[in-house]
Amino acid sequence: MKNSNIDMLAKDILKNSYLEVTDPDFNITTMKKILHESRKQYVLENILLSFLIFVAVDALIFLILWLSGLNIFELAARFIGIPHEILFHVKELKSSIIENAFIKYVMLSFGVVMVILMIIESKLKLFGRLK
Amino acid sequence: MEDLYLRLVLEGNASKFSYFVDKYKGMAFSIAFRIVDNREDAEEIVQDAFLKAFRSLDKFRRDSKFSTWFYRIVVNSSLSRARNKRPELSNIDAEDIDDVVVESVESAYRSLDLLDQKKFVNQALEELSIEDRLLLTLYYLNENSIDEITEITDITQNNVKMKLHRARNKMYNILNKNLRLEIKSILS
Repeated sequence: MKNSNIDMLAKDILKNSYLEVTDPDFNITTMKKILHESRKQYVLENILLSFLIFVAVDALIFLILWLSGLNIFELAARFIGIPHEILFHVKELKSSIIENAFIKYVMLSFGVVMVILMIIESKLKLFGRLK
Repeated sequence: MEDLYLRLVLEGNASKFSYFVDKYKGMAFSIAFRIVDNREDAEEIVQDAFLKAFRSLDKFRRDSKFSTWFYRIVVNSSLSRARNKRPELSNIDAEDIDDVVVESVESAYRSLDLLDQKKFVNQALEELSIEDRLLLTLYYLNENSIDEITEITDITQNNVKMKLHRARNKMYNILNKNLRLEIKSILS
């Protein structure tokens, strides 16, 4: 008998060795695991992204302030005295907060990070990442 | 079609991965079962393999078919589960089979109903080694090419050909023995 015929018969015989998954919930369970994994990846990616943006924005603002002649590390020392001023020098506090470079820096960086995150989130929605 | 679903999943639409689950679960289960010899283990392996495939989908180079890449994951996971589980003993005659054996297997096999055919083929596969079963399943049931089997199993092309030939002969010899016994028991 020809080798090809033996092969054909083997194929015919082994066709009956196909096995079906018997668990009726197999697809649901598998997809649950996959969707959970997908969400995990999404959250992790976003945390990393947020962290990177925060660091980058911090560095940028620090550079801008430094170029403007403001050293936030020196001025931060003044920030420590604020609780004292809250109690005794409310008026002075107002100007202190407004003029304090450190406060400005924190508020500015927070604002910029929030805006960037909002833009990214809307972009991700566009590309279907949040489906 | 598959490319479209791949693209959708990679763009973040994870629910579209169900296309691959639905399409490949049966064959992946058949492969895993032939290695681990246990339904629950095989189902678990296939689920984990889908998860692994999903996690590393971005690493999937499209120079091979998705199925080939995925079955490789299934085979590796199954082999690591099956390792140390049972000894590999298969001393069945792998010598070339003559026409008489093939013809007698064919006529006896064809005379059986579908359920018995399934019973005999599964019985024959159980008597073979894991590697033999795997090669027969990939080549004859899943109709993978020798190149694809090489990629899935990491066995060289020449070895695949040689092992496949021997596995096929062993299967015929087992079927011949078992079907003869069946005929004898019917006649007696």
